[in-house]
Amino acid sequence: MNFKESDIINIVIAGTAGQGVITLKRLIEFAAQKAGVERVFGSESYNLFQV
Amino acid sequence: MHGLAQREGAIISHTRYQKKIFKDGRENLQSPLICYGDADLYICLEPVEALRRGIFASHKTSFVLNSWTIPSIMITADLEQYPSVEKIEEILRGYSNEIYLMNSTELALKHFNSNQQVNIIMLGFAIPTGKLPFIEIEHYEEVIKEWLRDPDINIKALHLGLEEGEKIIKN
Repeated sequence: MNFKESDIINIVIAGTAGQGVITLKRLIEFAAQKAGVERVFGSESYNLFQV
Repeated sequence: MHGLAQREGAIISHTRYQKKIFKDGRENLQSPLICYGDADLYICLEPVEALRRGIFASHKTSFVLNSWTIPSIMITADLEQYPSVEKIEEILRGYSNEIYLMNSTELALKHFNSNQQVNIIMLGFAIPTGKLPFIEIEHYEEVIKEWLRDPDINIKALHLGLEEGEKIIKN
């Protein structure tokens, strides 16, 4: 799939606590900034336990 | 936040980026949250977590899954059953045909004798999907060198994930 420079890229990262989800998210964001990406947004959600 | 890892808390993150922004702000990325069904790439470090937030997936989504399971507290307490990885894959096929599985934890344990590199291996695995455009491998390497402990090991993990990912995704 070819993306245009104006396209918005959406990435979901999911896992359990301690697996490095947030580290991975930040790594992608920082790498995007290094690549000259003009706008990078992110959000995180935490759950204390799961059912 | 403390103590999540002991209870296998579910973590989800959204990352959104736009290479070039428009003069007209209405065309630009404005929100940190992904709309339902709008995810291009779904990186799952644990298989059942892919189902937990499946609402963000659609036909355009590529799933990269670590097939190593971590049973939640309800499963270890024998109150619920963990679905098989095949069942999870079958459910995800209802969204998209691009589902790629790899046992990254096993790979990390084999090559690094630790599961701390699983997330970086999964990043390498996701790159061949083409859903992380405009970011080159050198950019990840730079960030790893600046931000992570043991950068050499993590760069090796990134390349290991990339090699394995290319084998799986291109076949």
